[in-house]
Amino acid sequence: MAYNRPSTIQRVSDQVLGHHVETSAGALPVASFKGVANTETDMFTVYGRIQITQLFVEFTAAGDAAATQLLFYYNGSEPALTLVVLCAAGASIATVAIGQRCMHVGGAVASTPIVSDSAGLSDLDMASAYQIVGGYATGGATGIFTGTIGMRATVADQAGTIAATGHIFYVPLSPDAAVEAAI
Amino acid sequence: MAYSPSTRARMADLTMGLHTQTAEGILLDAHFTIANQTELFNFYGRIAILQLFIEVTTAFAAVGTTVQFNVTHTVPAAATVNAMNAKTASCASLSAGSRIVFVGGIVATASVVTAGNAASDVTMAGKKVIIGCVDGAGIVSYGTIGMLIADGTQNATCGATAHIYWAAMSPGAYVTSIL
Repeated sequence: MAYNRPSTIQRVSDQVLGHHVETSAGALPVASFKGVANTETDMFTVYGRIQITQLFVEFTAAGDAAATQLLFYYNGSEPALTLVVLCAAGASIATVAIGQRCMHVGGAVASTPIVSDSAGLSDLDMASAYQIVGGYATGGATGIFTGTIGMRATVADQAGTIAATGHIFYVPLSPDAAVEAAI
Repeated sequence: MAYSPSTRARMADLTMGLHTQTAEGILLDAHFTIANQTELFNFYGRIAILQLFIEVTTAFAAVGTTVQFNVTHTVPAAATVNAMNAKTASCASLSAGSRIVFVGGIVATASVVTAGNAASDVTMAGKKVIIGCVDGAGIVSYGTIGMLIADGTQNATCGATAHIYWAAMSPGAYVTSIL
């Protein structure tokens, strides 16, 4: 059936893809892409247990030729947990164009994010290789877990005007589970 | 439990995504001519493609036509055509009900001509291909999804309909049929 109301299209899409949260547009500036120092930038705050159905950064300003690599992580603060990476560092983002994406593909944490094929075209995604982060311990001292999902730059420093927006699509797996943009 | 047709349709939308198709049988032999690029759908914003296929409505001639799906971004990369996959095997003698199926994955993956009359043994299998984007200034991309023909020209009456199932990934994103 064809729908004409944008609000209906959005609700159907929420059902199909999960809830969408994004950072402010271009909220990941060049300072977030300093790989020599393994710079980490928290993008989202996670409450409770969620299933990630899509996670990516979309470049809103082009990158320079530095071979910076990216990975995604979960860092639990309540309870205090050791930061865990959700994947290995991906391919170089050198000279990425506006509209290209660094896509988390899920699955084993040894998997690597994919830099999309071309501006606006991502050929690989998480498919059904969803990951679950956070937790919920009813009756315990912890209750709803709280933590952040972020991006770590590695290997090399971007020095130009690169910028990107972080996006996550998720499904709550515990009561009151939610995601908020951290930047 | 039995549901009314409208309820079943709504449930299908929630499972399969939003469905947009060209007019029935609108793709004729002239569209299946070597080097012919036909735009099938407009997209606006960022969308996830959940299924994309062409369903034969009138049988193809015994000519080894192949089909490749591609995307053309008017914004941000003006009129740049990018392959979404590799071309299919021969579409010779496809019967009505056969489908030419985009299976997603890396762009080097070939689309698949399905096994037989109206039975598709291969789908995107949960993979989603994302097209479109929104830049830092809030400028929303738009463009078209089309098909490129190679290797053989259909030389007799044939017909087909293109279908896409999709979901919006940015506010206001949508797909419309061109044909």
